[in-house]
Amino acid sequence: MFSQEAEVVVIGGGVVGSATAYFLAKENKNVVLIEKGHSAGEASGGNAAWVWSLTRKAGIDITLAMHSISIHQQLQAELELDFEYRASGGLMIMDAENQVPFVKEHLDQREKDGHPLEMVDAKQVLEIEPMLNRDRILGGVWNPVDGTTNPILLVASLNREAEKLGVQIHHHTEVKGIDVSQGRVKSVTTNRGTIKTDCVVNAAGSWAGHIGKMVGITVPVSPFQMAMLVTERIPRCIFHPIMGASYMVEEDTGKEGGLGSGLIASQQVSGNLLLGACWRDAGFDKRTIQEEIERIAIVNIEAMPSLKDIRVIRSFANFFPHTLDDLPILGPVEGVEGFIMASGHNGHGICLGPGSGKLVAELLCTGNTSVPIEELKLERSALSVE
Amino acid sequence: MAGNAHRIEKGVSRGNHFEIIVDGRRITAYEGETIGTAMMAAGLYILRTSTEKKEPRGIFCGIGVCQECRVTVNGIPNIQACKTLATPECCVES
Repeated sequence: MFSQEAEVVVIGGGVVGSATAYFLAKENKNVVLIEKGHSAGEASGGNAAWVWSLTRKAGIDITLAMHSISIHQQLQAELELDFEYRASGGLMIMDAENQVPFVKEHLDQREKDGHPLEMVDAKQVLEIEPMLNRDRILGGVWNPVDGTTNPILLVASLNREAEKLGVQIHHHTEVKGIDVSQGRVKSVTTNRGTIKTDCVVNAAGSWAGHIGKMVGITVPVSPFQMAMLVTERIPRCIFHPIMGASYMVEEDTGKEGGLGSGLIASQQVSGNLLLGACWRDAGFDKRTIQEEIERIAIVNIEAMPSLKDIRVIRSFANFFPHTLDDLPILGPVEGVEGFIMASGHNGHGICLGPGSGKLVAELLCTGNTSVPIEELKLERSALSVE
Repeated sequence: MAGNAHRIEKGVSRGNHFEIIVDGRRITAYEGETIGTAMMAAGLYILRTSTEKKEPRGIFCGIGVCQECRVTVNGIPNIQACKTLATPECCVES
């Protein structure tokens, strides 16, 4: 029988919604989770699978990431189903002079903010990742707290535990409307029935704007595509998540109709390599195009020449919920009591999702959060399109 | 899987036949047949075992998508038996 009533309805079965439901259930809240597709079916199931904080900016960005990494560790200790989280440390590599000032500036800012990173020289980079092309490396940045995970298993593990705690999870169920009267959430209507509730969490990721419209608000989250390749399973050859420092160079490739690309490489516990990435504004289209596949292969073979003999078994693309300031939208919304935002994680959702879920659960259970989230509210000036 | 695959005999013209070596055993293959086809015709359905549970795996999708039919050919691992043509004297490890 379909759920009739809940203290909290969470919309979105990705990592953010699943973590929110789990942490609410741990506080004995009666929770229903609604997902239009399947578990981790969108951005949470198609990404680099990293728990990565190296490139997070000083301020709230790195504060959220560090908080969430502590939640990943907590989940690894308390969830039954292993989700292959490995805090191996993460590496950024520099291979062009124009990257150096951006990287140095980032390290300065992080140091001042109390979250220092370690600069390493070319020799150290090659000791950390021996497969990298020694002719191209200028140096790198090492961050011991980063690592990789298996996001699909993470979400499955959160869902399994949440169900044990009484959460009703409805996959393949679409939200059709949210009833608001006198400025308060009253119920959520789906294609399978209506659930009475006075609290809704909008964890719909790229669809957060669709859900926002149902309560009469504008949520400035837009889909932004990232494509990656998956290789055959091979013996361990990449030991840490590796990112190219071209990501630090400020340019808007991909955002103005072009195709951006940069190095992202890591190896899953299974042995498959996840190689990326290309990005472009493709709306809600998650098909990969030939040019993306070729560019990703070229970028990775330039960085690691021995990859040329490794076979690619799949390509995939997904879109991340993009916001103008690259920060998630978290917390209550003015004028709609009981409507809580938890979307817009910008391709950092796997790292940030468990932390966001924890913070939203704290907010709903106690009215406070262990990390202040005031500056992540929907009404912040950085999100206004004017 | 109940194994009763066989080559269609009537109304089909085949090219030359030759032998390939599967786990040390010689089997017959015809020009244009994949390694997977030749193995099935010889009654060899188990192409590998799964990584974790060591369960048998064979041809599943037959079109190069599912990755279940991976074998080692001439020392190169992860070759898809369903879409790799058999060649004379090629050496397959299942």
